[in-house]
Amino acid sequence: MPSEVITLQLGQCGNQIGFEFWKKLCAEHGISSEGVLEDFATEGVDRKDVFFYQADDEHYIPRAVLLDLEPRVINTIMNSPYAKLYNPENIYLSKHGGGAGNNWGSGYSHGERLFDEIFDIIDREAEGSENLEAFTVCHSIAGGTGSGLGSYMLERISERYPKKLVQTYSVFPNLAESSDVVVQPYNSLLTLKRLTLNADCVVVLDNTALNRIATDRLHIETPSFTQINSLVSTIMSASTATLRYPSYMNNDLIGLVAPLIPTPRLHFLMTGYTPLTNDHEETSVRKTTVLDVMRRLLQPQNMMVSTTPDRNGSHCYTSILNIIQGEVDPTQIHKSLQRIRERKLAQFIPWGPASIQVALSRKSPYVTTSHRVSGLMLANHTSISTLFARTLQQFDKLRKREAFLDQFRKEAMFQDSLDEMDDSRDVIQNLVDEYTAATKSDYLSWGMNRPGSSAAGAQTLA
Amino acid sequence: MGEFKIHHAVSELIDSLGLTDLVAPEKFVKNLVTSPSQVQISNTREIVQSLAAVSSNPAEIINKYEELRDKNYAELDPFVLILSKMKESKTMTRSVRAGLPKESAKNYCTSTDSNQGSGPSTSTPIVVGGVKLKELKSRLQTASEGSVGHPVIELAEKRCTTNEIIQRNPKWFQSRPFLSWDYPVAGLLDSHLLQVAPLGNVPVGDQERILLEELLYVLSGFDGDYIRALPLSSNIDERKFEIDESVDDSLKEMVRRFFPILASYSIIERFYESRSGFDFGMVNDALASAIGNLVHEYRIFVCQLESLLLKSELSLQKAWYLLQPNVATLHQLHHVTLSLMRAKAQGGQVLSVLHQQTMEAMGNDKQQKLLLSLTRSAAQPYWEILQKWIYQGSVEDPYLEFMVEDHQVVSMDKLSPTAYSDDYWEKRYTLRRDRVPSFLLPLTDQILRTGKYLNVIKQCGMKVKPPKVDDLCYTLDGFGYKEAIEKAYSYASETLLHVLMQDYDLLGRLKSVKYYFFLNAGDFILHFLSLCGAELVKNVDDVMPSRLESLLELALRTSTANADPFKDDLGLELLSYDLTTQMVRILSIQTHEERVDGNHSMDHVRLTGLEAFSFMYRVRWPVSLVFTTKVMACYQMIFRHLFLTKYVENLLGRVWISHKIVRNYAFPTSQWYNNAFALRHRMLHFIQNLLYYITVEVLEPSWQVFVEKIRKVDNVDQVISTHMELLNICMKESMLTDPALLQTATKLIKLCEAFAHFILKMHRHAKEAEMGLSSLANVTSLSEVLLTSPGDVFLQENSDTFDQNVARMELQFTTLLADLLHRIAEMGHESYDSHMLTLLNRLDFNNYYTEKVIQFTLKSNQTDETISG
Repeated sequence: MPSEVITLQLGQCGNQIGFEFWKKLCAEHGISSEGVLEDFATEGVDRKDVFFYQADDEHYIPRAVLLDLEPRVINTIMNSPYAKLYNPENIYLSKHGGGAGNNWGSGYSHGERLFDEIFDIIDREAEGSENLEAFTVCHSIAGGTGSGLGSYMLERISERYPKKLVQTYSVFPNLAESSDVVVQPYNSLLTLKRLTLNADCVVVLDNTALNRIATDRLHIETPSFTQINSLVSTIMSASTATLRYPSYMNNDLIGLVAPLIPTPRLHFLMTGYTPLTNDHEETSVRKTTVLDVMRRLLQPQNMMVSTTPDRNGSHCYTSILNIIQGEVDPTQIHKSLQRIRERKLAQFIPWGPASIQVALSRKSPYVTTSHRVSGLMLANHTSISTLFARTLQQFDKLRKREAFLDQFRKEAMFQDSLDEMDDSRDVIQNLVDEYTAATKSDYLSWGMNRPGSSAAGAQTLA
Repeated sequence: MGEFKIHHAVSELIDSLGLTDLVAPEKFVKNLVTSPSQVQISNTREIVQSLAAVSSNPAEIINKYEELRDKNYAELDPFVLILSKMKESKTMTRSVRAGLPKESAKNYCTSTDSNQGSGPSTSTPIVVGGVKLKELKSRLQTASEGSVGHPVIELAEKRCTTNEIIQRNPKWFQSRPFLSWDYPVAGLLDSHLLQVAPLGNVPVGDQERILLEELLYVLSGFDGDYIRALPLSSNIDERKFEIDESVDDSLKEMVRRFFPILASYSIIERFYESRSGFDFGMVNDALASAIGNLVHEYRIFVCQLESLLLKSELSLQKAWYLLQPNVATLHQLHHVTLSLMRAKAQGGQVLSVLHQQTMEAMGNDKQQKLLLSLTRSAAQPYWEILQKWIYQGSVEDPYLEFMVEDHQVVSMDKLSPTAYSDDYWEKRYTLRRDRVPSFLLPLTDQILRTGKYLNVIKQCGMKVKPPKVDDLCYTLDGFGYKEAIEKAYSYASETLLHVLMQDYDLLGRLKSVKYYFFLNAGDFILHFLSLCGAELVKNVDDVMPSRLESLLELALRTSTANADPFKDDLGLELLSYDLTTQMVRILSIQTHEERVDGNHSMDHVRLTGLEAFSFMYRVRWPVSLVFTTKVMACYQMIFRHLFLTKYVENLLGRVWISHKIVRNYAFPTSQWYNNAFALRHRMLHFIQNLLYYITVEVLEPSWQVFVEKIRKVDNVDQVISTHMELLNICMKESMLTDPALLQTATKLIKLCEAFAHFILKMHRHAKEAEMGLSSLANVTSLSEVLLTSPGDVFLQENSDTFDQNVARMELQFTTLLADLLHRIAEMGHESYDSHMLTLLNRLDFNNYYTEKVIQFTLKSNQTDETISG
């Protein structure tokens, strides 16, 4: 089967959103919590084998690898009804179980130590698929395991599988509330470097925005992790809908993300989803037309990334892909696009053709929703750089004070110097600059005359 | 008729008129396509008269018209209309006149030859506005010769062959003239028999007695001594009589009053005798027998007159008086038989003439009754054939009288199901318009289909149990037979539709074909591409079909296509021409460019496997009725267009993946590739939007409409035509039918393909260099390899650097795309129903190309100025 995708779940956060994701996929494909196809779902035209494979006894097993350095989340999963769903060989828990202590350096060096064991699992999984297309990594960039181990894994995967697509769902920390992880800016920046250089496509899931959406849109006063994660899993399942319910177009991941990412570094995508409902609240059923959906997707309050308000209005969309699910008349789509174009509801880059691409996908017949049409937007917007700029600021604050660096100095990478940090800072600064340049019409010739700095990136290339 | 057929016909017409330089076909085609095909013709007679008025020989024209009208040619009225239009239009006469000098004498000769046998399109020379239309027509005639055999010629040929089978009148029939009751000795009298004394010498009272005796002879068809029939020059002439000059004047005049009756009798008798044989078919035979009965009654009447004469109770006056009731009948019969003989009518034609006469006799009860009974009797054999056809689907028509002709051209065993169905549906049973009785005209299509459907049902191995009805009978208002025919039709169509839809799951078939040919099975196509991609880039001669077959099989089993019950019917073939060639050939319209540089370039291109590749679909009887060769060709064309696009999309995806390596390059090296990235992005943007447009905006909506319609149809012909409609719309909206548009689009796609191959090759070079495999091993940076590597085979100048190559391709791409957008925009101005503007909107959503084109023209304007200044 072509175009399989292997999912790697790293750390607490990664495993939590991964857990919700698999729950959702099982429900959509009519697979029970134990991997058995439900009676009502025997003959379908969906493709389960992108994300699942069948064991000898016909059970469906997720192509997932679960990694963590401390047992709490994985134990929760193993005590849930879904315990039997996963291949037990694909679950790796660090033996001493101490975790990475929210330290990027610790997570990274754990990775180095566990390399053989982890890649045994991944290689086996990759060999088991016929035509592997991509790895999807779920993690957070703030903690220790997801960021540190995640960074290490990204580096190794991109050199081990240079022809495969590496996509991540990266959870960015909530900046609205003070974090208990003081070294969060360090962790974020170091991970961001790897996301910039070693991932092909990063779907940014901003906890700030997710919390905002949960309180504003779903009217939950103090949203729980589970509620937030169910939001995330909605996005993950919707963004893979065209792979799982094949039709005319966008039936592989490359076809989906390639048009979104014209130049290889600017690969951080925002998402938006509408209509948002939650499980226990009966929504007053609104009429959802395609135009409604497409217009709402362009509203900032539906975006799952909180960017700083754009003061001079120069930021713009590089590309947009709307995945529309449900019963849709293509002519409606065309009309909506016309309307959006006429009213200039979206600003686009001046240096290339850009438009709102639309992918139509079926809905799962086994999951009932109250609305007719739902839409997911995947967008490449230059304003995402404000998120990185914020991280840079916070990093600079700490770095100037040389605060909390002791724990890092304990790790091998930082024993001699903190060059890695400064190097990462350069990479991200460059990224922010490039995003800013991409708003201008002369972007294509940008950087040609700059003196060659930060050659570090090139050396990491094998 | 499709737009392209019309286009073809118009350009042939213009060619044969010798007007190629003066007019362009496109102008007319548009008019012809949009104007309603059925022109209401009300007053043809007036038109003919006005035509005749300007002619040098008015009477001849009118005569010819009447004659042709009697022959019941359906094309006559439109033809007359065209003539009058030609006369009215000044430009037409002018251009025809302009074309004339080129006319060669040879053409003229051939045309006059062909005039003899053929029907309506060649009448007597008509001089309109000083232009000899005949010459014009002759040229048209020569042009059309050989393409479609004219009905009349064909008929004659057919008769020749069938006559050998059917019986003919025995030879002695001709050699014994006295068997006839139609004045057999007329003209022979003078030489053979003795002269009689003039009657004038006899007293007037005796004269009358002798004349009465003579008259009774003459009334029964034999010459007398004093009243004599004159010989005929042709057998449709009215017979003339003469009476001895010496007879008393009043008696002479009295006798002369009988002459029209005698003439009528002569015609009727002639008709009766000639049509009673085998030569003119069963309808004529039946009619003749009915007329024979009337003639018999007439003879009895003559006998009664004789008995009166023997009782000396008859005078000429009384005979005249007694004869009166018969005059009307004789007159009517005279009229009918004469027009039938003039037209040499047979079969359906006879019935048409009779029907018309019956309608015209409206108001005259007695006459109408007479004609009605004649028509009824004449129609009897026709009904019998018809019933065989609509109840059993067989044609038993030895005299070629029935409107449906069975060409047993093909047998199922020899041909593939599709080829068989093509022939079957189009050629096996054909309609002969000239043999349709005019009262059956509205039912013609139903009748034809009924039998066709029954045949299909029978060939599916099913029993035909048509509803039983009474024997058909002619009625004036169609009561009875109309209902019966409709009943039979609805039985046949419903049964066949049921067979196709239920037993053979036609809708499922259609879905399955759509699934593959419209690339609806996205995952299957992708899988197939990933399996066969390497094989397909090869030259077509090196591609191994068997390998492709097995890969196809594999792709089918391991994708969602596995759920399709008909998946085994999907196959593939390698064609010997690429899509553009195929399309242009089908349209047989030369684009402007081709006219300039000739058509030769196409044939020499060596095809890659990809260009030659197409799916095919194996269909079995009777589903093959719907999936004819023509239909499958349309599917294939749509598929090939999409498949190539999809392939290039896939290729660009690979380029995208290969580009990720640049992410790790340092500044400013990494930025050197920005132009290549931007071009790749624009290409991908174009390709994906094209795909989206064709699949989501054209194919899927049209398909939905089609499915809606298909659920409502009630016969198979509607299924076929709705299906064809779907394909036509899809082809048109997918830009396949506009050669210029298609060529531009294909060039763009090919350019994208070339670019992708170029980048991938560069990438390979770079890798080899890095691994030390290449001679360029000492190059330190990948980028340097990329910058200095020799160009690709797709590029004309190998010495160019990477940057220059990209820049040139970018220029080509922009130019081509601007051209395409421009064309689409133009088409949008011309027709508002086109979807294509949506493609334009999608491609230029952020006005990138609009601005690009403006910059472009500005730049070129500036350079122009500098050159001129």
